[in-house]
Amino acid sequence: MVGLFVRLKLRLLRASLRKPARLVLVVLGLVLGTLTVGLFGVALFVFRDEPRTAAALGALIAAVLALGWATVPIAAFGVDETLDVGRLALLPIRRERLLTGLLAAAFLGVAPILTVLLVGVAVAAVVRSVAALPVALVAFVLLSAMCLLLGRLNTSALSRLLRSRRGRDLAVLVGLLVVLAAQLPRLLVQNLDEQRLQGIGDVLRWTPPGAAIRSVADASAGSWVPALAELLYAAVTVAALLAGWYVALGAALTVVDASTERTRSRRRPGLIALLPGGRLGAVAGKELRYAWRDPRLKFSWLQMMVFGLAVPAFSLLPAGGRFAPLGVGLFSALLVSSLGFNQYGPEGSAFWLTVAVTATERDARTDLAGRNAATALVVGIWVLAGSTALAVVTGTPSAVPLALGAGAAVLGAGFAVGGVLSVLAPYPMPDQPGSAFAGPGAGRGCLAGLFWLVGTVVTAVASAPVWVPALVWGDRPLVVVAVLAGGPAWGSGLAWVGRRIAARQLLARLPELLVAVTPDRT
Amino acid sequence: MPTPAVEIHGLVRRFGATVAVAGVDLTVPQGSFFGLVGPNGAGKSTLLSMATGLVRPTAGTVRVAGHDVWADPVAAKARCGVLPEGLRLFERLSGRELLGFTGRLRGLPGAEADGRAEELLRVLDLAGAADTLVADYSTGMRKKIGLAAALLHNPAVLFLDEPFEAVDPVSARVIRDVLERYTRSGSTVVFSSHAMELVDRLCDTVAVLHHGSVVAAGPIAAVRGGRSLEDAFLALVGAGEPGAGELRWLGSSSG
Repeated sequence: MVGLFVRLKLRLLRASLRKPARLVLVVLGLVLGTLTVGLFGVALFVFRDEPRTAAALGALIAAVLALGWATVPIAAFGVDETLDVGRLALLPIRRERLLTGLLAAAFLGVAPILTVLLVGVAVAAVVRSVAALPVALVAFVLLSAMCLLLGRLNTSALSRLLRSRRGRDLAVLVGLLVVLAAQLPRLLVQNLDEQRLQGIGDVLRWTPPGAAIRSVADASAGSWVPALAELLYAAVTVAALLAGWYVALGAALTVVDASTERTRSRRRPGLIALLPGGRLGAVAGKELRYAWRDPRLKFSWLQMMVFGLAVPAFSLLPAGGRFAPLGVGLFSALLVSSLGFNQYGPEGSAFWLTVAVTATERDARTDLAGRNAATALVVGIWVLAGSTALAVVTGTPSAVPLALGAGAAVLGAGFAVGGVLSVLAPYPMPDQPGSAFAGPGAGRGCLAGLFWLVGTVVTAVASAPVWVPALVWGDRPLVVVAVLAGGPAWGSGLAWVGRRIAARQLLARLPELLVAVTPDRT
Repeated sequence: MPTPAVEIHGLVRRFGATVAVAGVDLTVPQGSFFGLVGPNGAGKSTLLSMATGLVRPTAGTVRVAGHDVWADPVAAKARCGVLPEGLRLFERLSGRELLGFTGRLRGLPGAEADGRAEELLRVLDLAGAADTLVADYSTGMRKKIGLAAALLHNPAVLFLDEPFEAVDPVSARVIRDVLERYTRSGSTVVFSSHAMELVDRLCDTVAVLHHGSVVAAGPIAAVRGGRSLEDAFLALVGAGEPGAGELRWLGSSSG
C-alpha cells in the first residue's frame, strides 16, 4: 500500500511537470527553497556561540513551518488533488493502510522535502554535544511529522467543506491572507534584534514545535529531565495529530459531501439601488455584485482600495497640508482603475452572453460604460470618505475637492486605458475556483505585469494636466475650483475617447475575445 | 414559401490543422423542431456556435430568419436565443438576477424583463431557487435557467446545445413541455443531442453530422427510412460491434 501511494504521488508529480511553465515554477521553487534553507543554515551557524539565540531562531523556524502547514494546504486544496481523500472513498482500503500510505506519500514533493531540510537545519543548529544526538534525531522526526500531519489533518477534516462552493471561497480567502501574512516576516526582520528574538523564543518554547527544538538545546546543556519532558510533549502532540487525522479520515471517507449546499442572495444591496435602469445599470449592477461575491475580485478590490488609502496616509501625512488627502484621490483612482486593465478576463467563458447580445458599437460602448460606472461609484464614495478623514486630520478642507477633481481625471484616464487594454490584450484567469494562488495563466504572468506597468504609466501621464497643478499649486483657491470642475471634464473626455476606440475593437473582435478569455482546459 | 428559420451555406471552421466543420449546407424550416445529431466531436457545438455568432466561420454564411449573422448582426442576434454547452453562466448572480440582467442586455424594459423572468421561473419550476446563486444550482437547474435566459426576449429561433445532457427526468420533461409550446406558436428550435430516442420523439426534422459533414438531413421519417433513428444513425456513422474474441472474460464471474 505504501509503495502504491508513493508511486501514485510520483506519477502525479511527473505528470504535473510535463508542462514547461509548471517545470519552471517547480525548479524556481526548489532553487529559492534551497537558498532559504542555506540562508537559515548560515544564520544558525553564526549564532553557534549564542545557544539561547540559536534555540530561539530554531523555535521560530519550527513554529512558522508548522503554521504554514496548518494554513497553506487549505488554500492549495483545489490545486493538489492528492490532498483530497474524498477521491479515495470508493476504494476498498482499510483506514490504517490508507493512513500509512498517505503519510508516506505526504513526504514527497518540493514543499515537504524543503520542510524536512529546514527542520534538519533548525535541529542541527542547537545540538551542542554528542550525547544530545539521539534526542536531536527524535526531535527531528517528530517535528517533520508534526508539520506534514498538520497539513493532512486540516485538509482531511475540511475536505467535506472544501468541496462545496462556500468552502472553496473560504479557501481562496485563507490563501490571500497567507499571501498577506507572508509580508509580515519582512516587517519583523527589519525590527528584529537578538533581545527581541530571545523574547520570542521564550514564548515559543511552550508550543509543541518550540518544545521539540528546546529539548535538543536542553539535552545539549545536560539538563535531561526537561529535555525528555519536552520531547514527550512533542510526541504526545504528534500522537494527537495522528489520532485526529485517523478520525477525520474516517469522516471524510464516509460522510457525503456538501457540494449541494446553497447560498441565498440578498435581494437589494444598497449601492445597486443608485444605478440607472436599462443596459448600463444592468452591467454596472452585475459588476458590483461580482466585486462583492467573488472572493478573488473582492480581495483585489479591497487590496487596491486599502493601498490607495494607506500609502498616502503613511507616507504623506507627515508632510502635512493637502498632500495626504489629495494622495488618496490619486492613488485610489489609479489602483482601482488598474483592476479594469483586463476586465473581460475574470468573466471567463461567461463572456459568451456579452457576445450574444452585442450587435452595435453603441451596445459595446454601453457595456464598457456600465463597468466604468460601477467603478466610479465605489471609488467616488471611497475617495470622498478617505480624503475627508485625512483632511480633517491635516486641517485642510480644500484638499477634498482637489482629491475628488484630480481623482476623477485619473479614473477617467484609467478607464480609457483599461477599455483599450481589455480588448486588445485580454488574457484568461485560470479556472481554479478553489485556488488563491491562481494568477494569470501559465506564462502570461510576466506579460500581464508588463501591461499593468505600461497601463498605469499611461494613465498617470494622460491625467497629468489635472493632478500636476493640484499637487503644485493646490493651495490657491482658483486652482481648487479649476481642478474640481476641470478634473471630471478631462476624465470623462478621456474615458469617452477610450470607450469609442475600445468599443469599435470590441465589436470587431467579439468571438476572438471569447476565445482569449476562456481558460485553457487542463 | 416562408423564409427558412436558418439557412447555412458552405460553412467551414478549421482550428489549426483540424477541420471541425467541413462545408455544411443546411436549411431549417420555420416552425420546425430540428434535431442535430452526431457522435462526440462531430462538430455539432462548433456548428451551433457559428450559427449564433459565438465562433467566427472560416468560410460560408449563416442566415437566421433571413438575416446574415455576420453581416447584419443587429437583426440576426435579436432573433436568436442561445443556450451553449460547456460555457459558464454568470454564476454569482441568483437565478432571478441572472434573468433580470439578461433581459436588460437584450434591450427589454426593466419591468417587462422582471415580469417575464418571474413567469419563466415559475413555469420552469425554479421559483423556490430564484434567490439562490446559480453557482449552487444542479445541472438540471442550470439548463433550465439557461433556457429561461435564452427565451426571455422571445426569439424567433432557439439554438440549444445539448439541452438534455445530464438533466434529471423531471427537469427534462419541463424543458420539453416549454419547447413544444414554443414551437407550436410557429417559432423554431434547433438543438443538438446524442440521445437518439429523445430526438426521435421530439423532432420533425433532423440532420446527422459526422466528421464535420452532414451525412443525412431532412424530415425525420425520410432519415429513419423505416428503422429506428438509432439504427439509422449507427448505420450512417458506421459503428462497429466488439469482435467475438474480445472481452471473453467479462460476465463469467460466478460471485
